[in-house]
Amino acid sequence: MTSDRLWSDVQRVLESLGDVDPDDLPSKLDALCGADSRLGREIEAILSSDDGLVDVAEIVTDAARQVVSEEDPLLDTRLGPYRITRRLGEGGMSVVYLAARDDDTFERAVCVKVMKRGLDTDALLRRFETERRILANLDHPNIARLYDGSSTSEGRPYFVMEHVDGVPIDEYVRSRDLSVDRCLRLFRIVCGAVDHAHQRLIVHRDLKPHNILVTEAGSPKLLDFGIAKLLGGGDTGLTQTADAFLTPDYASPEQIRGEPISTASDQYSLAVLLYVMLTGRRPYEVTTSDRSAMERAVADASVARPSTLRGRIPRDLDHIVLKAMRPDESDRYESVHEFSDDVDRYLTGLPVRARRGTWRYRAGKFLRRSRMKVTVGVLVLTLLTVLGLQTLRLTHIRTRAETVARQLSEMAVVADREISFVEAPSTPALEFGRGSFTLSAWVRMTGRADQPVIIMDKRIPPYHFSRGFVMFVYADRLGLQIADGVRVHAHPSGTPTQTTGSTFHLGRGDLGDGAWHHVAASVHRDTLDASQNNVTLYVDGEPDYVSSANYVRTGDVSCPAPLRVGVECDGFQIARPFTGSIRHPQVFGRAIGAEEMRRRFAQGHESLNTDVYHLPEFTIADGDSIAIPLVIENLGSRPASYTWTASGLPGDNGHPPLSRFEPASGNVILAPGPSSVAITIGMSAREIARSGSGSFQVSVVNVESLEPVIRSGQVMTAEWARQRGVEPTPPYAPNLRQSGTLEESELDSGIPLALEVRVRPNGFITDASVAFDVGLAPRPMRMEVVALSGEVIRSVDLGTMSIGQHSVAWDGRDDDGNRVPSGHYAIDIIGRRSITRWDPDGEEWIRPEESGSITTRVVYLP
Amino acid sequence: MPTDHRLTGRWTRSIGRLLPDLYDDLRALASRFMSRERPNHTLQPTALVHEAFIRLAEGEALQVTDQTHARALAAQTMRRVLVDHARRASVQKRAGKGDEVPLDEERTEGTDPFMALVELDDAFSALRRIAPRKARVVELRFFAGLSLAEVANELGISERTVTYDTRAACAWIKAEMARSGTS
Repeated sequence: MTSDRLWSDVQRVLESLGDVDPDDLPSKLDALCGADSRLGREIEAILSSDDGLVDVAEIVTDAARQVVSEEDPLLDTRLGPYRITRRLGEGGMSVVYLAARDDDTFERAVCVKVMKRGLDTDALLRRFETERRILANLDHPNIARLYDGSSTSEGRPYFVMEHVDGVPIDEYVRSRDLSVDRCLRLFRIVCGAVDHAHQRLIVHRDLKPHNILVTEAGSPKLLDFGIAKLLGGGDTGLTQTADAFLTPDYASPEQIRGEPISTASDQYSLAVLLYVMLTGRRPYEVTTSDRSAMERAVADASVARPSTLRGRIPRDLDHIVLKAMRPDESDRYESVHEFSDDVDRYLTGLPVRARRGTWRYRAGKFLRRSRMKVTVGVLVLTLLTVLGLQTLRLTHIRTRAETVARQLSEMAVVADREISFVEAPSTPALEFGRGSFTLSAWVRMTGRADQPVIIMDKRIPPYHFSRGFVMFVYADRLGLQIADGVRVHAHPSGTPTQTTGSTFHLGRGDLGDGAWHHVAASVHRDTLDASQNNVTLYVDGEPDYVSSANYVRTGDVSCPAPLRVGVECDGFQIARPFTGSIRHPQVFGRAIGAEEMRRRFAQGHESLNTDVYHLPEFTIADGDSIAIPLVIENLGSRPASYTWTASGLPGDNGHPPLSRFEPASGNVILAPGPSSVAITIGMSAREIARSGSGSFQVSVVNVESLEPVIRSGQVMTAEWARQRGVEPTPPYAPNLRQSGTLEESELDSGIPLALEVRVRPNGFITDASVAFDVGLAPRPMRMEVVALSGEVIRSVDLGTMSIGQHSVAWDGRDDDGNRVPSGHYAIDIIGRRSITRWDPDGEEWIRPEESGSITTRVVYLP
Repeated sequence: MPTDHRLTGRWTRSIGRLLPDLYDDLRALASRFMSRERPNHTLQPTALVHEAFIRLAEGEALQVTDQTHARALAAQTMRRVLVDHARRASVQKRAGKGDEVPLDEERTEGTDPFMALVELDDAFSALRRIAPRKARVVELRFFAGLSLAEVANELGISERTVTYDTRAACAWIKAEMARSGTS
């Protein structure tokens, strides 16, 4: 009998059996097979084995696999200028591809997210058109850029985004087994990015580990900003259409209820994220997909305190995380910034606000933190009395008790650290738009703890401004160091007029805490041709404000009240005014409007260069100031232009102004090949020694491509390394140190800004550059290089320099073109200020002062 | 079986939520031939079936009206969608080949997963006429991925019967496929 024959017999028997009950099987089989014992055995074998089952399962599975692995029709096709090269993954709503923008001149990897069918493409793209400018303006090193959006030939919408090569943040934390402190620092960077978006009124809506990737370099990047809103449909928030991508484990209660989303919702998601980062567990699991059940689950979930889940998590963090996770939005922090700030307070050892508890708690914190002797403590209390009263007079929001408590903590730090601003004094200024103001200046300065406190109260008469007005306050003129900031008040007597700008809510500053905050605000315009136009930021309320530059403003602010900054400009239309951000370490390299960005893209202006950065670890000795040596390899074939910023240094802790980390602004041109660069920041080792060790980030931006590349480095003090038995990293080569001591000019004298340049003993100065700001009016400027002997060895006429940030370079040669030997030189930038200033003593307006903030950068070649 | 209102929505959404927890049995079975897979192949076989279904069903507005037999319907719909696709693909493939029929076409088609599935479905249709319960068992187990116990519960029969039905049905289908393949 052939096997075919056997099979047909088997089949016949099985057919005859039909849907027989197993109990009746033996008798029925006997009847059907009769004497054919082989058939009987075969049937028994079949009914006792899973072999046939496996075969059938395999056929089904193979076909399914074929479907899944079928050539994606989009692969190797083009979407606009992008060629789809690889499928990266797939979510409920979209498929994500790796793509390259392949013009003939350059190639750059991007990520293309193609939405699945079933969405209203037209409506989605309409929303995208209105949102794209806002989203494109989300210019932050920790936010993946959104480049483009359109639809495929089939009408499926797609978005083009920056490609991020990284792992989800929870996985990153788990795989590296990050300590609590490092988790918190990483988390604060994420908060910074979210806050940046919140300041621009953009809410993420879907924050979860899979949307926060951490790169190899340890830098987090947030993906899909604004996408959820685009999908969810305008103002309706997350409605049923958005249901598919709601991530219940990270969604806030109001989100689950389908209520309007606010920044507080992101804060909630961030809190869940922090919970997961700290404990490795979710606060609760949402297993249902039914909205009302989900809502109940979230509302009823009893969340275990993080400290009970993992050792080494202090109670303070319980309070912080759980405060941001409160079901009621109004119980959470005011903002993500405040949330992040409280995390910072924990890191610094300050009392956390989430635990605004007893006097005993604060006092305990204070005593643990403080290394001061009792006598100093008494002195601080004396200071406190004065400062507390002043603060009370100025503000009307906080109660006196709160103010006193916070002043106490801030002052303790001030005294403890002996903050000295001598190295890079700030020149705070207040700038107004046009209009009539009554301006009263109140300047408060304190000396060091062992010096008397001087409070100066000055009033400036009303003045009608036809243009902006800038006021600078010089502490060193009074022979003082500014220990607690300078406060300036403005009481506008009339409403400032606005031409085409509008007022934006900037966020909230800390009330009277004396800390300096960094403010960055910029205005993006559709045209870059606005050299003669002026953008004025004015401040409404009672903050202090410092401004610099033309249409990109950065500065330090200590603001005692919610701060509103308006933008006024003349001569051109504001395409998309930015709001500013408070205490944001971002420094804007350039202001480039979205349209300009697109124009560059269209013209293929992207850089060809691929860049490699090396940042070492190094040890510093006490007394050193910090410069970050950085090797940049420009792998391209033509010179490329770079700008950079540094942030996150140890000892930062939010207290010294972040802008002091700001290295020279402007660009430096690097030839192909490796170059050594030092970025100098104005931190002394003494300040860093407070925390001993930490990491910093340097963000280097290739100006052509505008791609920030962030690299992290480590720095530790020798003492810190020794105490912990850590092998110190090679000391930071002192011959690369560049210490820039800036001396403010005296009134009336025209004494220039000075920068001391020191170079390594056996080298020549190859290049030194100085960056500075020119204030309200263009003016002629000159650069002079002065040797130690006082001799001017090089004098360069810089011509009339326009308003804004400038950078000039000295090539290390004297007037005769000879290279100068290494040594100490001062670079003076000399100019004439054309701003009028009211002299209350002489009761007249005088003009001849010289000022400006100066930052330095020295470039060496190996 | 309780009313599952989640199934009233679009399939693409609800199917993914309904199905993942139903598959232990088939997954165990699948592990037997997963060893033959490329090691970097991350998708489990049952996940593959769902994945394929979701992809195919993506554009279609599938509505489920009979909520009481949601699982049976799920199985049936998944089978139909997958087989329809396989059928279309096979036809296209044959049409596209035109005159250039290779000599070993028969063997090629024998290993073509879509062809195999179409043949399996033909056999399955024949089985449904002869033994409808066995056919439902196959559908529930292999397309919806229900476990032995779940199939038993769904059909109101004992697990032993399900085992027996499955084995008999598979053997019958194999025999039927072999028969039609050689005829």
